[in-house]
Amino acid sequence: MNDTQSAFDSEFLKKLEYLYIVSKKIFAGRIKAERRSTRRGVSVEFADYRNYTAGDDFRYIDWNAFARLDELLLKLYEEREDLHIYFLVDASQSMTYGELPKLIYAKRVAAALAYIGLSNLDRISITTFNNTGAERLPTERGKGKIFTVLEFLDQINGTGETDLETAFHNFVHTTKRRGLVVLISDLFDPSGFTNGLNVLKFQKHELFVIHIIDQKEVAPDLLGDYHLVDVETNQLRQVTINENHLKRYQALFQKYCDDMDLYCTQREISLVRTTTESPFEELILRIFRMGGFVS
Amino acid sequence: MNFLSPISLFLFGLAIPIVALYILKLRRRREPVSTLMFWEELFRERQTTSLFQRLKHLLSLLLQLLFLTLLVLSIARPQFAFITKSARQLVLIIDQSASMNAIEEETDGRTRLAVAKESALRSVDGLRFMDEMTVISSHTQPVIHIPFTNHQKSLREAIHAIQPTDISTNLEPAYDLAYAISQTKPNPEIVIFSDFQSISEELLAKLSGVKNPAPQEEGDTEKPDQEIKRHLIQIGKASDNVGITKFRVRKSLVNAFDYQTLLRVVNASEEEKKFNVELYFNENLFDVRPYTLAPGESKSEIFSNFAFEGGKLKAVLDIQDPLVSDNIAYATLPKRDLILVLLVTVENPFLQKALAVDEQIQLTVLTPTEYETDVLPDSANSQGKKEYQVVIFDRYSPPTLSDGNYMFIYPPAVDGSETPPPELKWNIGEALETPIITDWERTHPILQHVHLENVQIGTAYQVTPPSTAQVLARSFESPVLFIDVKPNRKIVFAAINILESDLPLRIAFPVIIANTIQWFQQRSEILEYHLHTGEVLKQRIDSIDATYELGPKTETDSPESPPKLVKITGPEDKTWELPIEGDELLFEQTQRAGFYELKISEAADSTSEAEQPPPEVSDATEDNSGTVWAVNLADATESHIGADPAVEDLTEASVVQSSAALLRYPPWVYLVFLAVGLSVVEWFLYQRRRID
Repeated sequence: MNDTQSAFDSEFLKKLEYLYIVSKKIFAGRIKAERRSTRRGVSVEFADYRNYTAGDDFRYIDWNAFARLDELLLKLYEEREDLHIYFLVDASQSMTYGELPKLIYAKRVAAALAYIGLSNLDRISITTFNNTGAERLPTERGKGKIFTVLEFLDQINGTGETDLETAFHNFVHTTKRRGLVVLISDLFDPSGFTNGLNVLKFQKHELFVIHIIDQKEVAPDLLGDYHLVDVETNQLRQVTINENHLKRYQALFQKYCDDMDLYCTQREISLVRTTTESPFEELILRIFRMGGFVS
Repeated sequence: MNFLSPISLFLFGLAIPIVALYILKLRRRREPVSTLMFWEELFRERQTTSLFQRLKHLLSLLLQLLFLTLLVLSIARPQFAFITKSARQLVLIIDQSASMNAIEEETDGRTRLAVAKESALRSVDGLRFMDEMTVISSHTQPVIHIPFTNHQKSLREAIHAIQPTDISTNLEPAYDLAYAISQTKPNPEIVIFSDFQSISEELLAKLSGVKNPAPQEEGDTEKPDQEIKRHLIQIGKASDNVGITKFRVRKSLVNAFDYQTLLRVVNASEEEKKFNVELYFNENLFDVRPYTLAPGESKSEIFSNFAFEGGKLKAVLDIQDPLVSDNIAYATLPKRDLILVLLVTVENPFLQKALAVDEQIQLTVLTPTEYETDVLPDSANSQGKKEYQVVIFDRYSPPTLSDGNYMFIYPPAVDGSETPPPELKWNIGEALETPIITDWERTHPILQHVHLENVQIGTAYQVTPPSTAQVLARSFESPVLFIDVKPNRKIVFAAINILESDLPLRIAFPVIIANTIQWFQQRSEILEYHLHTGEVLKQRIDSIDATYELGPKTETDSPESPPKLVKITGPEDKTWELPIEGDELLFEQTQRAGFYELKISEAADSTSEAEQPPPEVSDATEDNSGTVWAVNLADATESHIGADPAVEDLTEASVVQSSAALLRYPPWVYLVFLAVGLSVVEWFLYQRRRID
């Protein structure tokens, strides 16, 4: 566990640019960096008709339709708006676990995605969460803000416990505008991950979950007598572990992941899972290929 | 329960550190984890069995203490009285007789002895740790191969060391010995592995427990014999056998220059047998005769007219039957040595012709003058050297007479003109005119097959034999033929002038001369170089090799010359080297039938028997030194290889006890095994340990 090491260096910044170019290549001809909103507005693309009501702007009445149908119909146009991307980064103590701490990995992923978002003229906001409170980077726009983002991410330390539901309640109460919520966490909440995700989903946010785990959490190499210490609560558990226990542990962990996959699939939540052993740039490319982050 | 090593019980003190170590908490390693929720869920299932967990840990301590208890008890070597009292003392008797060499289909081509040894080895395997066993083989005399012991490896080696022999069955002494040594032991059992093919009624009574062997000492009669269990393990069932029961050589009764061989073959099977008898001389086949024998029939046949001498004779039955060793018999034909005969006469053509008939006689004829000038001085100076084996004086009497064999034919009366030999004790009287032989000893060797009736005698004289003489023929007036035998001298005296009688014209004359020569040699008709298997070979050293001189070492012998040995080459090229001690050789290792060649040689430098190269088969016709003995089974009883029906009711299959497997090892071994098993259980519990 080493959360003091820097998540960003010059090599990382080169990779950011590379990732941006690759993302442009992947989505060339399909998207234009801008994201079309479901809201109706004043853009040039026709969307629908509706009946005229008193107080509507006369300029949008379709006079041709009135001549044919003798009804006042108002033309509706798609409104173009900037996409709001909210990064929710788990800053609990459990994220500091691992030879390469999960928090470092989460910072790099967040930074990469934020850079791509900023480059696409999206609005980026980053919020950390744990049970001790949340820190928030206000909404930023433009590629030039990437250093602000990196600076913010760099000062995040892992501490406290994981409480997804409370943290997400606080987030939705302070965030009026809906957008894409990118949740980067290990989701090790003793009360479960579903309540927290439900809070986000009920607020009509698009949800993209990046589940970061350590390989030793998937397949621990513990055999014998141990005092297991929960890094978040400092709770002790005296155990004697044998091969059979390890097999059962892996089965339980796999079931936990399978339940998460099922939950996300049923609620159209994009989910990607990675271990810290996997290079973060591969994860980014995987995210692009599976879609959901930008569409 | 007693302990052989009770001081080892102090090792129970090791329980203290075990309990102390159990009480001390194990310092566990701290391992941070990102969440405990999976571990708690994992061990939550086992929390309901926490009581079992605690019990399991307590059980672990108890197992460790029990492990220690078992180890300490095993080191203390516990002894249980009920086991010790049930200890058996087994006496194994393995029949080593010739019939145990029978090979049957039921035994997969193995001999009965091999099957018996295998059964005996199974008995050794079934030996319990407290049992003891001894192994006896029924040899010519019973042989104890190993004293009472429970060391199974030694017992197996002793059983493996029992070798097949061709001796006759001799179970009774072995049983008596086993009975005697069993009397000194508790719970004795006698186990006999045999084919029981010839059991005497007395032995049968002993085996069935009706009669016990006689006590070894007088004092034993006061103490009643304890009950002994007897187990008779019968090996082999086949009875289909044909064998040679006699094969002997003797000098021919009708031809002094020929031998006769007696062969007797018995069909001991229950079927008619047709086969050939092959005769070999020095391994060369020279005669084959077809035989057809009804069940139980025996046939004797005499072979004669041998054209050879001095060699090995072998009879082989060309038949496939279980017992091979009685299908071959051996005999030796001795070499006929020339007899040196000196005839001292002026002239006697009849006598010369009669002596020339015998091919064995090498005749030298001298006149009395030549005898006195050439032979007599040498004879006087040679201190008893026997140049001529027989000297015949025809109408002549020498002045002196040394030791030897002499025949006097009508020697002149002693008068003043001639010097009589001082050794002669007879007195010659007046001359007799035409005496008539009235009586003669028809059974004496000299007068065998001779009729002396109506022999016309022209000239004879009266003679008074010495008191030690035996008269063989007499007339009315006086003895005409007598013999006088002294320790180193034999004399035949004829008081008739054969040139003035018709005796030389009769058949009796050459017969008398030949008989006289043979009588001087005193050759046995039944040749001596023949033994039954198991008999002791006895022979004078000087008769093995005529060149060997008995007596103390003379000064002329080199002190550095190696000592002399008798080298014996037996069947299967087995050799023995025996030092010469005394005048006579005694050799007991005649268990196998075959030829035993005796030779005198110089001792080699510490060459072992195994390093000796196999001796070449010597041809006795070419090598005059040494003698060859023929050792034969030739036992009609042994050729009947079927089991005695009277024994079948007493036989059983095996003596291995059902409890043998359980009590094969002493208690401490089982305690150690139990302790090891407990350690495995404890290891399992340790590995299965969960959260406290």
